[in-house]
Amino acid sequence: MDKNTKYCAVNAKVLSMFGKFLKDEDYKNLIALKSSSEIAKYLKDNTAYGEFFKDRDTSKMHRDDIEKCLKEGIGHSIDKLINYFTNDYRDFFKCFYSRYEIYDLKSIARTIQVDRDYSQIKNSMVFAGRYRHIDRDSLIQARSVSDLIYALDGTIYYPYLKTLIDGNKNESLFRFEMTLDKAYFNILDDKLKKLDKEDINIFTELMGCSIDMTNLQWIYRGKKYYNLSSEEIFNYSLNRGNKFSYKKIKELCYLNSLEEFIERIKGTQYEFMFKGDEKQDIYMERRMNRFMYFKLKSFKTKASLNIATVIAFIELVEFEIRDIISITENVRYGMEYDEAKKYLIKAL
Amino acid sequence: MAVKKMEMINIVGHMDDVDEVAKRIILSSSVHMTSAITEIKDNDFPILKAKDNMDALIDYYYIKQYASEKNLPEIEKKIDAIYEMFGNSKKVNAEYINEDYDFTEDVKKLNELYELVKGSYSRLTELNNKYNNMMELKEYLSYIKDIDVDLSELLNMKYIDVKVGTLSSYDMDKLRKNYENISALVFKIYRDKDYTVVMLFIPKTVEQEMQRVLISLNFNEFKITTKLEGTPANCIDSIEKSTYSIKQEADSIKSKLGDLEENNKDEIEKYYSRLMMEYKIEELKSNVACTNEFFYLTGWIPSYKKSELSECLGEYESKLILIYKDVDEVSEGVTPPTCMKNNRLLRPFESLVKLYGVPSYSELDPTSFVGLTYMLMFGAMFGDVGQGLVLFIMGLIFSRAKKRTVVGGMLSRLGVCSTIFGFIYGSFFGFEDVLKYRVFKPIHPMANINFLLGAAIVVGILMLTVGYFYNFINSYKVKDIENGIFSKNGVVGLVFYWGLLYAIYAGVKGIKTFIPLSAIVLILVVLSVVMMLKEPLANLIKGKRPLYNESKSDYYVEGGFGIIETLLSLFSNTISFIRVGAFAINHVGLFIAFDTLAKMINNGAGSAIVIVLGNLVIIGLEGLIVFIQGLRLEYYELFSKYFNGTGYEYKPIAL
Repeated sequence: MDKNTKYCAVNAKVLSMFGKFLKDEDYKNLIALKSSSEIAKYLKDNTAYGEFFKDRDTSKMHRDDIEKCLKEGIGHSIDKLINYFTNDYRDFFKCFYSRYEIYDLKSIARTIQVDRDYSQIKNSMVFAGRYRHIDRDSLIQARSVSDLIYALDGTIYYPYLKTLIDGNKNESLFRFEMTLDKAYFNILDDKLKKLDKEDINIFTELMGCSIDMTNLQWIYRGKKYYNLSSEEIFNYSLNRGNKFSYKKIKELCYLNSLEEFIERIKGTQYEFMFKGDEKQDIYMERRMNRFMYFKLKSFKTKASLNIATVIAFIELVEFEIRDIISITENVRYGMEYDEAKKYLIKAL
Repeated sequence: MAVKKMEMINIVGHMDDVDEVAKRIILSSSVHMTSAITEIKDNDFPILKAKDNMDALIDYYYIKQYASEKNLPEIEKKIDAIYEMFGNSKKVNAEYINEDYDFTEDVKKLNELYELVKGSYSRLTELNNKYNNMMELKEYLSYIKDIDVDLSELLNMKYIDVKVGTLSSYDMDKLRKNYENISALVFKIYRDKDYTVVMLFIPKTVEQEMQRVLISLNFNEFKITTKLEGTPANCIDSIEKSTYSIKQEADSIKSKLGDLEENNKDEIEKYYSRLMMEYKIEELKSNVACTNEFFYLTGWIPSYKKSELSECLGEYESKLILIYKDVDEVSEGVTPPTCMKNNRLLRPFESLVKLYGVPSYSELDPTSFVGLTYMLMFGAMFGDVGQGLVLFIMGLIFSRAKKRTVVGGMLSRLGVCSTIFGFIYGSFFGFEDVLKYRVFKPIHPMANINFLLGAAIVVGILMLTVGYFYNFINSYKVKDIENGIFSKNGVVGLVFYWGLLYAIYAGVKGIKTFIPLSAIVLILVVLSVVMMLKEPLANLIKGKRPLYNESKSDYYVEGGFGIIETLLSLFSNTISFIRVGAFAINHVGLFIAFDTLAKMINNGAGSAIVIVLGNLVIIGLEGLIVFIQGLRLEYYELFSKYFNGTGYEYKPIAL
């Protein structure tokens, strides 16, 4: 399809939706608030998220409630955007969004395996089954990770998960999460191939960075905390990185020590991940996100008739929501403004 | 005909009766359920007015959503198992549901029956699993059947472990890229687009590490449980033999159950029917709110079904508090579902209306208008005795044999209309000289082109006028002065339309008008100004302020263009109907083309084939085009005048 017909309308829509992002002022106000219910009230009265808090009593809202409302918000904007695309593109976006579904599934699995608070399962499901059929009732009734996998029979995830069914119980959660992530990238990769060349390139450039960083973080953690064998680390690493091809990743996986690994990263654009300060591990995620944040922002300003604007929007919305959640959590610890802003993705 | 009057029904009753009441409501299939909890929250629930039952009030504060306690899937599993053993198909028999019964008794009996077949059933499942396992093993062996090695030796090596299984191509790729670090031999024995079948030779000393690596690769291992001896080809032979004996054993188990099946065939059908009912009851109860002692239930019911419901409730009616409320008693913002009811002739056309939108409760149901005009237009565009009869027969086949009543019903009705017009046009499978007329002369479309086109427009003008009247009534019902009187679809619009038509007609024909033409033009200008002022005028009458919902300048710029648009759309909507005549001519034209082809072939059989083929193409292609064009006229030209379609459908809970 012609680029104009494909992107003119959706880009106009997205650009207007960009206008609804929180302002710096909103961030400052939010951080100054003292409780999660105040935050909910602020969001309801003063921001574009208000419509998702409509008819809700904000006075008793906790972090989880707020998160759920905000996620509904994401779902809402997805619904809007998907209607602008057809066929392969629509498929692609639906898959792109299945990561939210995967968030849901993972949190369900965690609830089942760790918290064992089964009444919470229903609450964790915001996206599950939104675009493809998922048997929500069986998910709610699942009492173990293998029940969960059986409940997913017939979904796109099942072929990936079915080998886990009679596996080791203690590891099943870890493997469930890893497999779902791998499945996500696999499925997305398939759908990506059907897009136009230009869009594939842009997407790989954007997501390639994210994949690079995720791989580096994975290798780092695998070596430092999980004590996995090099083969396992390699097998769980992701394809399609930007700067790190599979060969480089493999080399990194087979390095003997963590120091050597960090030495190798020095000089690459991802050096910032391993600054060596004491809060390195805590900040790593935030640093990665902020890197992506700036990258996406620059893509947005270059806006032309391709997939970049939409992708940038989707990612930035998610970042904003994560920030709001962080702010809500910071409130609990009573952090001051200067301290609190260190944990945000957006640079204030 | 038209939209049926709805009433809100509220039922309060004792929790002990909830199942029975639910069952009877389902059997009456008359209530469109709504969530009682939401209803209570919106204060529509009249419990606070029900003074005669104070107990219900006392419990009021503990209202909660009904939570199911029954484990129906468990029961269904057992029924499924029995059905599988007996090998007959599931069927719901309403007879068993209508009689009085206690489902817990049935479950007990079902359990007894299940105990009887349990042994054989588990043996049968075991055999089935074994069979599937064998078949899978056979498939794996078929990949390596050309190897001449004794498998028992291969599988029982002392220092090397052998594993078979599949890897996804993504993981296979990972493995390949890292092969130098893998401490095993990997043989690809079969490769598909999505997965690869591999055979691994793993030294037993590194088995543990290798296992972890395989897990990270999502290796789907196939565990060989059957004892294998000899070469793969030999093994395949022996597997075939044992699968045959498994089959035989399974068959013999099944045949042994014959007597049991004969005795319990009706029983199991009874349990199944009642189980399905239980599921429905649960579905209904998911909308019910309850306290420890009472349940509260709300829904919509068409007034004409009230007696049916009360008949079904029977003696329970006296135990319940039943309150009906009219729509205008219900708080604002709550709209009832739309229950459309039309006579048999027009019922299939309801789906055409629903395709566009379900009429809202306060709207007229346009089905009768749509049905009649659609049949008329289709017949006029596709008038042929023979082809019409073909459509009619196809319709009958669809509705009778294939149970597609909507498609079938529509096709057969359209077929009849086509046949009627076929007589008028004098066309039989395209031939215009077959039918002999005594009473009147047929109107051959090709010979009367101008007449047909003109007639189409006249009919179109009449239909549009009826559309205006629909809009008047719809607007009157919701008291919309702006749309009903001043807008281009309102009274002013209709006067403007007819005035314009009269002026044009008089101008073209040179007839003397009853008032001077310039006066008519002046009236038209005044009317268009009124249309432009519709919003402030309507607000003035209703006494609503501000007069404009947007800024004045915006309103007039939009209104100015609106007038031009009105003129254009009146013109195009009217001219659009010319297609009715045009397709009638086109229909003949298409046949002439095939007829000419047939004559060019000039050989009996060949010409006949072309004529038959031509008729098929005309019925299929032309029929489809005419179908769509008719729909277009209904939706675009007519619905845009008067129909909103913002309602939702009345769907009573029923088995």
